[in-house]
Amino acid sequence: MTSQPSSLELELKFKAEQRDLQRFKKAVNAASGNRRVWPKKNLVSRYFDTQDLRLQDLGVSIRLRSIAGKTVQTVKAKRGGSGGLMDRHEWEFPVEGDTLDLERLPIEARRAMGAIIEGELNPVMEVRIERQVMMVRRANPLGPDLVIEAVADKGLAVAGDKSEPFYECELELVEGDVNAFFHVASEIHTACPLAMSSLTKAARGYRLLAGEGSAPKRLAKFELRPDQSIHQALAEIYPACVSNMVDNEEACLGGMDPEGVHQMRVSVRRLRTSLKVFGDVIDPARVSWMADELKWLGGKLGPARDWDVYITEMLAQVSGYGVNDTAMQALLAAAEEKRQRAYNTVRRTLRSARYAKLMFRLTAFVAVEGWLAMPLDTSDPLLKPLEDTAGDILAKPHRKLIKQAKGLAGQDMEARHEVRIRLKKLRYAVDFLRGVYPGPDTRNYIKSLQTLQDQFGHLNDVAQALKLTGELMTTGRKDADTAKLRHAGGIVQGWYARALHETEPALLKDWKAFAGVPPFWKPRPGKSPSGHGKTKE
Amino acid sequence: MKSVLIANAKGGCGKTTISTNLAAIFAQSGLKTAIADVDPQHSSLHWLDRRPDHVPEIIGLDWVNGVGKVKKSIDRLIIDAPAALTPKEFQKLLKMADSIVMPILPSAFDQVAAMTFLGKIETLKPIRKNKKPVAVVANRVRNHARSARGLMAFLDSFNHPPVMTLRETVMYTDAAENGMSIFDLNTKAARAARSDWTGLIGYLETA
Repeated sequence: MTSQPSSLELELKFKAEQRDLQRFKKAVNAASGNRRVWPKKNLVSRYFDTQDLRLQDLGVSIRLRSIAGKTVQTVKAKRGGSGGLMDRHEWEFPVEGDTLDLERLPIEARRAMGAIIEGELNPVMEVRIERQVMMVRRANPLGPDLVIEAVADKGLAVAGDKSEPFYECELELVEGDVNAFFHVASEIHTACPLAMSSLTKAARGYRLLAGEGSAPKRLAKFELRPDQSIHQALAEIYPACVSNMVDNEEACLGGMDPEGVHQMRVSVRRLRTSLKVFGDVIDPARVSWMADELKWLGGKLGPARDWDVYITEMLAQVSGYGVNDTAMQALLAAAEEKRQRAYNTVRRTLRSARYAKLMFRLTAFVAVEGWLAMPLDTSDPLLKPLEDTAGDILAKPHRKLIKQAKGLAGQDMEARHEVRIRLKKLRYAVDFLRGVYPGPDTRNYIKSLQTLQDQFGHLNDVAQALKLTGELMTTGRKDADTAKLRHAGGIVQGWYARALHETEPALLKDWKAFAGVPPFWKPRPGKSPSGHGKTKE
Repeated sequence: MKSVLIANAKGGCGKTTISTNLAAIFAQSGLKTAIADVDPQHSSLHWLDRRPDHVPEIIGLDWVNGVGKVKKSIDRLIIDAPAALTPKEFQKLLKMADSIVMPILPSAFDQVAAMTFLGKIETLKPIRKNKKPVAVVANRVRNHARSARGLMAFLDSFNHPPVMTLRETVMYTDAAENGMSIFDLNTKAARAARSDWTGLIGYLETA
């Protein structure tokens, strides 16, 4: 991932296996014309914390790093406020001997660390690294030359009696232009497509200390403000989503925790829906690759989530109502097998070069704010305040929904599915832009929309029950198996179809209620509320 | 800023000792620290008057006649509340606080008073809903004393088990006479007694 404590510093970090180090060095050499051997140095970092690991809790790390007989103390702290790229404060200075020097830390660092009783900080873990470094230089006739530091690390994290070897590669922009940096980084990454990493060395040590895998992480909530532009909004949302994807990789790879896949899907969906919501104002040429690749990724993650929900929610609801138990067990076993396979697909996908490439590209896209046309055009709607643009963006999906839902009572399943999809699209736009219009009107609208979506959610349940159960019914190896699967499967399908029938009156009532709620957005000043652009399609 | 309200219904249970030592820990940690003294006896402010120049500075605020303003630059605020508070006054102070520390002594009288006090404040919304955590501190505990064991059994029986147990030592009073805390003393015994405070600090700093 990238980190930008100062305006210039930019660092890409990659996960690696032992054999990748050689590949990475070769790719760097090819990009820089280097033929020299990469010099090695040994680094030992000791991380300090209180007995109850309070600093970790507070998102602070403090370490002493020894290299060639010299010791440097470094404090890193998560920056408060909105969750962006790995946005961290850092304070570093050389110290004498082997002890921490808290006295010299500035007040900001002490604030981040909070109260510490004298003697409370002690070493809790150690990270030993054999580091190889090579500088990549490119001449630039138009500005400062590009200087990149390439790092290949072979490491060992040690906590108590536990230890864990690891490998990492890094590319850091030392001097020069960000675009030029990504140009060269991309050359290297194409030759050696490694997955991005967000794991700091401190986090690695703490994980080892706790003896746990990486826990799933939730995407931070965000709320847009009326004075923000879409550009500023994307500059907040995109880094958060991309980091969140990387943060949840380990949980997805680790095993079967449904939450990891779920959270990664949340981020993928937010990125994808942003492209839909802002589709009319972002130049498609800049983002079509992103839409395609995220769609591919979403398709690979989807089945794992679908089977999770099928097993833990759909089947769980039906079982126990006098359904033949052995038949139900057979259906459950068949679903479990599907789930296992879906998770294998997830793991294969996240280890693929295509995924590594996508994440690299997204990281670069975020860092160079690739959604903006260069040179900047001041009339670009992306740069206008949301209070001027959000009304139009919301009005369109609302209008499309109303149109699609005409004659709802007499509509067949297919037409209603279309209504459900329109509802979903409207919901995405509303969720993105609700912060632009704070107030009770917005809350009422969303409440009513939510109620309606819940009703239409039954439609989706039925569709899923039919589809997934249908897939299971044909998996039997023997006729007897197939009979059992058909028996249980039929009941599951019937259960959800019946539920649909029962909710029909409520659905029509909730639609009527929603249609009566006035939209909360306001038309752009100087524009009539209804008289703007025709819909495409 | 983080702020801590030190409160109990009964006097003499060590509110000022907790306030001043806690303030000293914060100040020693390089944090800009203030004590707001709400007690008409002004014990905390008198302690600050005695405080020598060579130890980290702590700012004194006189809140006896009402809650005052707190400068934005303050990192930690300790509110030293008097024993006799009307529910209204208590709520006012609670509003200013992020967490509450309730010192309690091993005696049976204190236990009854503490129970009544806790029962009362637990009906207040921020405490009931766990928005503002309550840290119970068992004060002046002599190891192995029967009263201490009784206190522990008593404390374990309700919702707020103690987050720290302070040993009884004259160091607290000796240091206080000179406007200092055990965190300002450089003796071996003082350093040993400091470890008692890790539980409370951990609780307050991550609350």
